[in-house]
Amino acid sequence: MRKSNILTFLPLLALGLFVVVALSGSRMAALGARPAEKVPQLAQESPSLAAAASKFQFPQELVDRVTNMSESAQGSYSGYMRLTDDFEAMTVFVPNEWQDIQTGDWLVQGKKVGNVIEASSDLNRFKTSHDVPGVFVGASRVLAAQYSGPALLDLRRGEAAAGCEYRGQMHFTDAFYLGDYDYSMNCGAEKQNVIVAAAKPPNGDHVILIQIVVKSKADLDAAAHVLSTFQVIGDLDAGDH
Amino acid sequence: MKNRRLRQPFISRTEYRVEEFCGKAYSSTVGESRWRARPMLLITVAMLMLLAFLPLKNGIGTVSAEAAGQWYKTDTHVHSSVSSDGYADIGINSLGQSLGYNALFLTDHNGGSNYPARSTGATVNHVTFEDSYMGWPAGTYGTIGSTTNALTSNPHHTGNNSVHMATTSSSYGETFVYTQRGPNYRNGDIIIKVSIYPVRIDPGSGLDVSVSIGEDPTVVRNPTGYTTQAGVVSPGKSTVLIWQLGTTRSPSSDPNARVLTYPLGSYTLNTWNNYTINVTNALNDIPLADRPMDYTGLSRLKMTAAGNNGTADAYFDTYSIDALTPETPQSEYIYRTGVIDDFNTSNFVIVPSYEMGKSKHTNRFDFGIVQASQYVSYTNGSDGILPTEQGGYPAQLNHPGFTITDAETVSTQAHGADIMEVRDPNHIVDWDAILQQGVQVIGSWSADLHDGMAVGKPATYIYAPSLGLDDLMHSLYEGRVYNALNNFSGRLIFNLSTASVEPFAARYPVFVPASQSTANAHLQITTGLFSGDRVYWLVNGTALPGEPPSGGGYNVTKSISLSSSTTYVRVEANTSSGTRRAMTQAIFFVKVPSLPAGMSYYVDRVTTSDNKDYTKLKTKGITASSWNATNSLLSVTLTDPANALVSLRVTTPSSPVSVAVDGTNSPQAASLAAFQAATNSTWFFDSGAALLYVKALHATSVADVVVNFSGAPLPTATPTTAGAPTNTLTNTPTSTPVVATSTPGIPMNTRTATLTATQTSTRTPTNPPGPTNTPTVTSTPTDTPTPPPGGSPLFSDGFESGNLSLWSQTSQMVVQQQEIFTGLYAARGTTTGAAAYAMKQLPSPQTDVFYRMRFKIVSQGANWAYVERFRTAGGTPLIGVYVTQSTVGKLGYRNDVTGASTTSSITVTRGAWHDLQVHLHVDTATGTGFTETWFDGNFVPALSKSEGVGTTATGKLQLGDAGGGYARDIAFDDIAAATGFVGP
Repeated sequence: MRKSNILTFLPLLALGLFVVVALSGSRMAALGARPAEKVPQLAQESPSLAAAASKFQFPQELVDRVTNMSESAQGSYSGYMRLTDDFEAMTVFVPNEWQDIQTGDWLVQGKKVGNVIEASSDLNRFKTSHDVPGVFVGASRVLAAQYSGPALLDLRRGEAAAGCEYRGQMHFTDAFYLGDYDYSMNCGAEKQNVIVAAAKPPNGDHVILIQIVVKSKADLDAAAHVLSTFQVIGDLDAGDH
Repeated sequence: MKNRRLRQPFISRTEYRVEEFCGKAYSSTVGESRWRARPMLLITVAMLMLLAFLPLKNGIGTVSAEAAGQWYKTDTHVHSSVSSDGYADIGINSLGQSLGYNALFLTDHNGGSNYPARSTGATVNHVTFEDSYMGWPAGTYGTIGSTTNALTSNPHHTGNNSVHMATTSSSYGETFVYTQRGPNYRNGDIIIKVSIYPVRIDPGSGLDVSVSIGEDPTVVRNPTGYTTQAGVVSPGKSTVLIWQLGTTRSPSSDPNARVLTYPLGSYTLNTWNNYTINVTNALNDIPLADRPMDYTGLSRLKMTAAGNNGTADAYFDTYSIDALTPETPQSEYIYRTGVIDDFNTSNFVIVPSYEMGKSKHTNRFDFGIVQASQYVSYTNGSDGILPTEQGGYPAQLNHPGFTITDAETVSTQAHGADIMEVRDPNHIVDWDAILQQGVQVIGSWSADLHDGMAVGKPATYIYAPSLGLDDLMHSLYEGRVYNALNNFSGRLIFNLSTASVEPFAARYPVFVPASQSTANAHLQITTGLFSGDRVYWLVNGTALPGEPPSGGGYNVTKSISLSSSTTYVRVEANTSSGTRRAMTQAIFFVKVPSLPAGMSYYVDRVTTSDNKDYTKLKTKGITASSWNATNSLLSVTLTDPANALVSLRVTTPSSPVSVAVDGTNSPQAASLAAFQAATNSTWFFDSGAALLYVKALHATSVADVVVNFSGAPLPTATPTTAGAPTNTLTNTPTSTPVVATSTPGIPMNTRTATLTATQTSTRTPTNPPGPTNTPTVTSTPTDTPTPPPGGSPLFSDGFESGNLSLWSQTSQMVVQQQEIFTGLYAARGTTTGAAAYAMKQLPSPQTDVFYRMRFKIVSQGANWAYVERFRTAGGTPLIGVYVTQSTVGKLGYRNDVTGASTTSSITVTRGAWHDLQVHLHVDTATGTGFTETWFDGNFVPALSKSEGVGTTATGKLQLGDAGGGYARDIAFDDIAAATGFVGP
């Protein structure tokens, strides 16, 4: 053991912790975040991923809308953290402040079709009232064999039509995926904006479905990070190691 | 002596951590002088800041301030690149500390790099591509115009198939196959061989084979990264080595995304070209500052067709990558021991641990081996549980339902493991099924990570006095633990009441009066719950209605219904969609007959002399107890390592007169502080809290504690405390019985007279009456009528096969390893009510059967428990040997033909192995017969007498009890039957 160095290191660690707690605390307070979000994060997003996110294009009307929403005055997220599913088969980066995280099976009509990552500042509210931002990311081989990305969006749009004003569909592509996304406005009582994306790799091996609630410019940046970082990196059908 | 490699001074490693916490780049470094130049004032201020803010970070200021221990966030199951399927090296795993982890148990696989890949069975030191995609997923990267990726038999070079890959792109695009892992750099030269059949390579396009360090960004967007030889932990950093035909990727000197390219050689279209690549030579081309630690493995090995404003089209076959001098697992783990603590700090440790088994995975947490002889390998990790426990440390059963079936997990009670993973729904179902058997297994959450740390993963939080392995194991074993996601900000304090700020040691049950219908349990969740979350209390596996949190927390004392002799309660905090955010351990309540209302007791802590042996094998706490209403005596038998100090709590309205340990009165402590400081047996009564504190120091592995509330002298024959034989009678025959000479087929009719003689024995208590009645379990007859072995063997089973295959019918009987008499296995019937038995059909009916067994009553309810029975071949019962209910515990038998029972004065101590042999003679002519019984080597006259059991000979032997309706837990070993006396 290197006890001689510990005494030197401890105060430095204390200082480091203080800085992280103080900085993240102030940022989260600005976003109305919970005390639960004061955990130091792995700042793992590479510069190339961040650059890709910064280039992601959204329709101008969506940009204008979130820019004009009152929440946009609340600043930006403190950073992005890496999430993986239960089997490390899928990964995505989400804002540090989305600390309510769930992973598990993607169930459709009670049957497992793939894996899921969900994250929000409050998932229950994200899923029930759309009044807080958050993301659902599901990956499935089963659905990829049955649906194209746009066909999956059609299904999803039908499910969500009652509560949303559909505004259009956009195409996006990067080095790994070909995808499309719907964007809708005035969703739910809170009149939020929702982006639903579906993407496949060129070989069509799997499909990824993403749903994001966007309340602010910061959330739109978060959506860009999600759409630039999601990836299936392992065997979706695998169990534990 | 650790095998240390050359490494950078420690200060360089702390520097990156400081930067990490400051939010700067991980891989950059700060000059040593910068920190050395800091004035002491800065240090002092920083310490003050730490004190001010840590409670905020932990959210448990009051708890950690008042309690002796503190919470440590751990993951009991993490892999590194030492595992053949792991990407993250040890340095990358150390980033877990930035998520608040204090300890990661690095449980690399059995075999390390030689652990066979699940998909291919190959080890990372020998990977091949031949004929199928197994272990070689297909992928694309970039802009693809058209792509082909298919197996084909024409052409192929070896085997049956090659893989045909073609890419056409108007810019840059790849079609590839890849495999996950290759060798690390400690196994000699790494050689790739590959055969390529190029069809078309347009200018600017090409074909290649490649390997990466830290993962290839054309396969994963965000590479795991790696640790450099200088010890710089660099998440996201990648170095890719590419050997090309034509042109594929461009070289890059970016230190965080370096690409080194090499020509593969010349080629001829439309024919097979064979290539050999020395990867090791290329590794030396990496600039020194970017070279990886030698235990970092090659990853994402590719074969690629890349179109760049054109087309590349080829067939690939006969790929192999080999490490020429593979390191043995022994050497690999010894080396790991030497480097595993490189990233430890005062508040974060990576513990050298081990996932045992190619199947039936289990974890051993003490695997910092330094000698080859210490390395162990198991086909089934479950076989490593017992040796781990024998080595002094608890073992964990991993991921039930994967590598081990759920059914096997339940039927073997997690194979006797001390801990089991309970993070997934099926794990929890299995856990409840085991808990419902009255068996405590501590549940843990772990992420089983192979790819580096991420947020939202399951974690195990341990309340311990320090980060030392022994302290962590102590607390983990005793159950001062809760489970939650790694970003859960609150604490779960689960105990019996608000009076305590520490978690209850769930390993040990709370003993309560049989008349008590409810008991309180208290849960405080300090914070961390969300709006839709619900808190569920589960009693014996049945959930009560969910309750909402209050302000992100929860603080409730709940009255638990004690509807059965054993009740357990545990709590889950679940999300709105039903997934688990956090959960407690299970606290057991066990009813004790005749215990007065208002009294209860439990073990608070066992502290062994060397702070080891916290295992089911050694540290058992209370193994028997009873209440003597006549004399107001509470008798408790403890079974723990010799010299262990056991801390007990007894809820009682009145102070005892004395507390004796092994017959000697303990001194009363003058204060609670004095009690807490004591290292010997003592006691203290807190009248205000109505709580008796007792410490008992084991002289041997069994300690008997008698709490005397009346002051009355103990009776001559103290009752019959299960496992606490306070007054064992000794058989002293006054005449020497004739030794039975067992002759097959010849009834030993002469014995009647002999047996009559033995029944005249007088019985003299070995212990004189007294207030401190010293327990004695040894029965020392002056003359033991034990015959020599003889006759013909009929059957024997020591269960060393690991199963019950020799038995014709079984129910609730399992073969297990935690309760054994000899060898590695024994049978065990554990039930809360169902029949628990095994049947053996003898080859042919026998008039004389000597039935020998070793048995141990682990626990028993308020009913008789049969340990064996003689039956006819058709199953009709003849004689059943039983032990009376737990408060009495006498040996007896029932003549099933006449219905008459005979109970001897022999006490069967609980928690101890006994030797029982019963001879049943059936006179098939007259219907008369007789029995002979030996117990612990001593002849038992009371159970050796004439018994008319009809004229049908014994044809079937029963092990255990085929009756139901009551709880018992009995282990059996060394079963044997013969027509004559069965020897040792």
